[in-house]
Formats: sequence, structure tokens, C-alpha cells
Amino acid sequence: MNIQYRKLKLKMKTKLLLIQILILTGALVKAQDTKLTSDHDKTYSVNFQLGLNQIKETNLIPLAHQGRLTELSFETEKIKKSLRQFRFSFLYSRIKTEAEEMPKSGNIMFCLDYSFNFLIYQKNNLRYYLGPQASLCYSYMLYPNWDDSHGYWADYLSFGPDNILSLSLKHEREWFTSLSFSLVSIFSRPDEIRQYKMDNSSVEGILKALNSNLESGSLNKALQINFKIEYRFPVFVSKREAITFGMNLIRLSQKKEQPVFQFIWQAGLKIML
Amino acid sequence: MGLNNFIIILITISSLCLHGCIKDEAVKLAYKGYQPVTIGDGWQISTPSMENMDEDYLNTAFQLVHNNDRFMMARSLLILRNGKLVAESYPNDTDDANRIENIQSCTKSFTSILTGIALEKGYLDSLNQTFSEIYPDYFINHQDKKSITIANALTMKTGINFIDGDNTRPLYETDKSSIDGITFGAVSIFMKPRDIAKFGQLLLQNGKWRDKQIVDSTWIAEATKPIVTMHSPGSSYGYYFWIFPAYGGYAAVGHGGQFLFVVPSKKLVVIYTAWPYTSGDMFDNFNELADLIIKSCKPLP
Repeated sequence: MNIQYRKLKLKMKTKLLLIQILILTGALVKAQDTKLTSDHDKTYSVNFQLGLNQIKETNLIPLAHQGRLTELSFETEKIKKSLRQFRFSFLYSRIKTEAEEMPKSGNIMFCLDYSFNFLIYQKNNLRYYLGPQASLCYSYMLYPNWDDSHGYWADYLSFGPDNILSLSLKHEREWFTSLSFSLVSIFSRPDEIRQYKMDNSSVEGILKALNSNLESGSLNKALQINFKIEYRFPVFVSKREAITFGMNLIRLSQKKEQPVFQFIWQAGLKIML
Repeated sequence: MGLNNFIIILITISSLCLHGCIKDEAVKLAYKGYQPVTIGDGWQISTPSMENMDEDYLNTAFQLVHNNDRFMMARSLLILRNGKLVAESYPNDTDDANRIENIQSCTKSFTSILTGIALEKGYLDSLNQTFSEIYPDYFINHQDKKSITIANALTMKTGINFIDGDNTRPLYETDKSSIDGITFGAVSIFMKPRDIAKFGQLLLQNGKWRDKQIVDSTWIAEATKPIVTMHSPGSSYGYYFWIFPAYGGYAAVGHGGQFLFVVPSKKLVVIYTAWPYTSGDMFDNFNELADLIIKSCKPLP
């Protein structure tokens, strides 16, 4: 009982701390009342997000695995005539189907994203950027209840357009949204039938598997749609934070195999350093 | 348009997606009965009433396999009596009838029968022969394992732990062996359900197939009598066969809950196959199915 009570107390403290940070940042913004612009040369930021991760690996079982996710990302953003963004993220989540009592399955995901966007339209405080983006993602899943012999993965290197809409508001506040999707991809998934293999579970074996079975394709075989929205606001002079929200949909289907679907929904706080 | 609007948009989108944008699909096919079809593979087809079987019990067993989550990964259920195929169904995909699948540790019982043949033909001296006599090179660096006999292996009493890692690797170097068609011996033989049924029928017929004695009947009797007491109640172990005295039968049992069950007194053979990699936490269904199918067997004339 004591442990549960302490955990509950710790959770409440954490929530209170977050609320205090938000209130404090709001007060600071009012106090500063600075210029109307989002121009800044280069920013580094750390984004911590929580959310929901859903995966349906139909090679294994056509049931959706679902669970909470935690994602930590490091981002850089450079704005001059163009807007360049680089992002490295690490996601971890425990997932389960409705048929399971405990979430024994898991997913880890490493992603590198880069986009280079040109200013296409500008009017008053509204800016629209468009440009190419590339994503390299390694996503590894284990479903020990359903398959205690093999790992599963859904990796891709994709290229496509990125759209960014930025609306600057008073007091250094800003709405920042982006929508990107893949047009062409190189991707990897395990074989549907792996009867004769036992997984090589060494690091070398996993890395080799993650880069095997490579296939290229367009939207019909590999689709990734990524939507992000941020509300940016200043905290201290020249420092800003953002409340972030994002959705990511992935569908990969190789040769005859059944597709893998992944849907990520997440929200969090970004500290712009 | 400030923070409030952001929160409203966020809540709207979230409420749309929080319950999940990816939906479950049906794992199994709808149950449509268990009538076998003739496909010219040598099996004679019959009906429950012709073979003195209760259709209600059979129906319950097949519905369980089709509809119950505890049989989520089921691939096939076949029931034979008096040497005839009475009932079969493929809950995952009808093509599973023609697909070779990994029957995991059911393989051990095949190895047992092959051992009996090897003994009969003189390829092996006796069950007390050690592996180090047969494969001396493998034991040069494993003096402590030199005394392991064939009988030890067949009763799962070698004292070797798979988790032993590098020490046992030379004895279990099997990662690639199935590719060249040589089975692991203990796991991962690949068979169609109806072909497993032929093996079951061979056992039921005391090792005789048509007019040919494939394996000595005394070996089958020896291999399927209780030798080792098991932790799980109601079962014991023979030479790579599970023995179930309460049912008067024995079984080959494999990962995923798969089994080949033979009850000589009732002239019954049952095959249940499933996705072969499911964790043990997700299946424990042998008794449930066996109970229903045994109950369906009326006395033979």
C-alpha cells in the first residue's frame, strides 16, 4: 500500500510540476511582450513525448497491438531563406493485443529525419515552406507470446515532400505545423515464412536482419504520413518552448507478404535550447 | 488563435484516435462444419455416425478450436477413427491442408520410431549405447558428457541444458541443418496434417502400413509405456512419447499446443496443429480437446 501511495504521490507531484512550468512560462511571456517574429538562425531542441503506439503485423496475427509509448528526440532547426530540420528520435513502447492480459510485446524505433524546405509563400505572419525530406527508420518488434522464436521489423528509408506552415503570433508565439509523406522508399521486413530459421539474436545478427530483404517501392508498397503541430512560446529572453503533437502512419507491404501497419499518436513538451 | 485553440484541436484529434486507428481483423475463418473432403491422398472419408462417434461432442470440439481465443493460433484439427478420416477443419486458412508446417517437438516421436527401426536393422547396438561411441569426435572436449546414452536422450534425461551456451553448442549445432533436409531430430520436422495422420495410423496399427511392417510392434509398445514421471499431473513420458493413462493413449506433443494423439483401445487418432512459435503461456489446451473427443467415441461394435 505504501509503495502504491508513494507512486501516486510522485505522479501527482510530477503533474503539478508540469502545470507550474506551463503557468510560469505563460506569466513570463506576458512580462516580455517582445517582437512579432519567428526568425531565428539555428535552434537546438529536445522533445519528450508520450503517446499511443499501435502496430498490426499481419505476417504474424491480424490483431492490433497497442500500448503507451515514450519518445525522446533531439532536433535542430535552421531558418534563413530556407528552413532546414534535422531530427533524431528514439521511441520505446510495450504493446499488447486485447487477447493478452499483460503487455509482453515491445517495439523500439530509431529514426533520422532531414528536411530542406524553401519559402514558397509569405503574407503577414503566415509562411509556407515546401521541400524534400528523407527519413531513415529502424523499427524492431518482439511478440514473445505469439512468436517466441523470431523478431519482426519494419525499416525504411523514404523520400518525399514536406510541407510546413508557420503562423507567427504576438509575444514570440507561433503555430508550427508540418505534413510530410513518402513517395519512394527502400524498406525491409522479415519473410512471411521463416520456418527454417531460428533468429540470430546477437547484436550483429539483429543488425544484419534489419538490413536484409531490401525492397523498393512507392505508395502502394510503402507509405509513411507524418503530421506534426506545435505551439511555440517563449520562456526566457530568446528561449522558447513548445507543446507538441504528432501523428505518424506507416504501412509497408513486401512482395506477397501481408502488410505491417503502425500508427503513432503522441504529445509532449519541447525545450528549445 | 492561441493555446486554447491548440488544446481544442489536440483533444479533437486525440479523441478520434485514442481508441485506435488500426482495427483488429478476424484471425480465423467462420466455422462451417467438419466434413472432410476427398483429395485423392489415400485417406478414406467417413462420418461420425458411421464410426460410432457423437456429433455433438465433435461439434463442440471444432467450435472451440474455431471460436475460442485460447485456440487463437489453431491451424488444423483432424479426427480419425477405424482408420478413416471422420472430421477435419482448418480454422486459419483452408490452404493449411496442403501446407507443410513446423510441428516442433512432435518431431521427437518420429525420432523415437526411427530409433526403433535403427535398432531393428542393427544400426544401433542398444539403448545403452553412448553417443560418444557413435560420434567420438564431438566429445573430445566434452568428457563430462561422454556417458550420455541413447536411452537418456529418448527420456529427456541427458542432463544437458540448452541454456548451457557454448559448452553444448557442438552437440546442438542445428541452426542450418533443416535447410539441407536433415531434421533437428528433436524439433522442426515439417509436415501436412494429413501426413501426420498417416504416422498416427501407423502407430495405431502397431507399426504396420498396408502389408509392410515398418517398425517392430514391440518397439512401439516399449516407447509408449510410462518410463519417466512428469511434473504435469496425469502424464508420464516414454521414449519421446507422452503417455496419458487416464485416456489410455499416448501423444507426440509440440510447441504451440500441437499434438498427435493416439488411443489404441478406441482406434482413435487426433491431430491438432497450430502456429508453431506461440509461447507456452498462450496454450494449454490438450486436455480440453482430448476430453471432448474421447467423450465423442461411443463403444465400438
